[in-house]
Amino acid sequence: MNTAGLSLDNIPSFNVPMGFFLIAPWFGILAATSLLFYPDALTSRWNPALLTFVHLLTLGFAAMVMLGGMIQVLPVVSNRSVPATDYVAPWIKGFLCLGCIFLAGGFICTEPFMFGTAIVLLGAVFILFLGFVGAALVGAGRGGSTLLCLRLAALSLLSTISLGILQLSTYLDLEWIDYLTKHTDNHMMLGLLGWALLLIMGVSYQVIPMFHVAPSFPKWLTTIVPTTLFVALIAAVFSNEQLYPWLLYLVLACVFLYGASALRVLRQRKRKLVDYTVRFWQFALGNLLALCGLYLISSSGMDIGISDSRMELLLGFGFGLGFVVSVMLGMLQKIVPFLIYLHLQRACIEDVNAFMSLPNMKDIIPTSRSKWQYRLHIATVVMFYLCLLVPDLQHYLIVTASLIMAANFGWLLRSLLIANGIYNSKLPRKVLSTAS
Amino acid sequence: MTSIAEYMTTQHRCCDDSFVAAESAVSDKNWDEARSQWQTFCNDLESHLQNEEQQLFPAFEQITGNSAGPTAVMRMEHEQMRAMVSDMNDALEQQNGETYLGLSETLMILMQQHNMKEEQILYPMTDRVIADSAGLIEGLTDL
Repeated sequence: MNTAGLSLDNIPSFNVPMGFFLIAPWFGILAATSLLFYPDALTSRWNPALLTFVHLLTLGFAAMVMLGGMIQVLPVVSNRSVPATDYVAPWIKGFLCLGCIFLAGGFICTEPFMFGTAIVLLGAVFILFLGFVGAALVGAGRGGSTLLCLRLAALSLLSTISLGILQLSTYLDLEWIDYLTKHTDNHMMLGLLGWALLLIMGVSYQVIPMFHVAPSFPKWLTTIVPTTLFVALIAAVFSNEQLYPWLLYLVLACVFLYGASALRVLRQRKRKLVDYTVRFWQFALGNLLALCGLYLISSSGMDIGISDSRMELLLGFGFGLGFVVSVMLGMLQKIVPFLIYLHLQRACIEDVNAFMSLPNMKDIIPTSRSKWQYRLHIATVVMFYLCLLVPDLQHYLIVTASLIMAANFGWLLRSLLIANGIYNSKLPRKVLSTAS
Repeated sequence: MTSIAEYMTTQHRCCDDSFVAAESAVSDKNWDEARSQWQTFCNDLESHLQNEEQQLFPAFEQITGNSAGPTAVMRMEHEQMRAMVSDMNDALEQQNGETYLGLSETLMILMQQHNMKEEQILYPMTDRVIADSAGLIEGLTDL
């Protein structure tokens, strides 16, 4: 009988996920700052400055948080301990950091050496991560819908990275494949709708009912939607031009079904107190449904006064910043205080005085701080939408958008540093000296 | 026929109801309602924990011959919850809404992740190993 998932002894030390979470906001700040130097980045999705911004945000911020989070939840959802986490995680984190910086530098300077180094570093990150996490996912046996989503997300990540590295190799004249814009489309589609959405789906099936005392998602939906989404995405990658749009409609239907059902489950929650994690979820899911509508309108050929290239950017920004980053910011407001509480509780179990002065979750990230995070994030997303909807003023709006976005990630960094400080100050001396 | 998993899961949901109602009343500074709901929650929670510790876990341990496994982890988490309930009692006595809500946020997540582990892993296991589940349920205290 495998009951490893019941024990908190299997979870990695607090510094492992927190190490990822503390580095991630720096990349958000860096991404925002990069736009200040290249205010015309939003003219086309192929603009090198925009590619820099997108990869700093998706790899540096989003992937950093996702990898840290996945390493944390894996022992719980796979119902088994994941050995050597504490030793492997710093390498993954270090390589991802450096790889991301070299990749961004490569796009800005069009420097082959930087692209080459990025390929090696990022390749190493994902070989390490997928080898490590993949072994746990494969060995976990039959699991619930969350495990299914994590497995499909990991496969999507593998495909995303492989396509990304193959595309990158064309900058180095390695000629592993021909450079095709379709490969970039597939890379983006698998990264956003495969890896990011499937991971968020899987996590939400567990955390929305758990954190907000909401009913479970309908069982049929938690297996049919992720499986259909994944199959449609992979089929789209290999399909011909006739089939491609129909497969994208199938993807759209899955995205819509998930978004609508998650909003419904949230509306049925028993806990109705003001909770900024709930608001972040509602904002993210609202964005997701709006984007489904926007895609439907644009693909039907209806003229709404937005050019195709701006529509692509609108969908990309809406999904990345409006959905993925919103979910992450909301989840961090809840997961970080809970992890700190859990780890402190375990550390203080033999120290009565320390146990009596344990901080509660709202001491670690107070509601007022989450409220400001929410406001700053809404302002960031609205400003970027305005940048794309009012192209005549884009040059001016983007400066404001970048500054607000930098403040948004700066605020997150501040919150996480304060929370980490509370953790260190409340850790009993005996544990501290053992750790050092 | 009701399974152990269904019966015990219903008790979890029942505890959720009074817990959420107490929390909501504290948030509205409706102290009388908060005390009444909190009392219901405390009674229901204690009955549920007793059902597990006195009846369900011993039956499971006797059949599997393992008292240091999953049930030991669950018993330890019960003690953590009881410690938090005691702190929340103090906060409610002092009508300290801020402390109460901070603690309730923590207890709620502690409780939910504990419930999830029981509902997804432990209860299905007890249903598999305990042959006379109807007889066992008969001996449990209803909420």
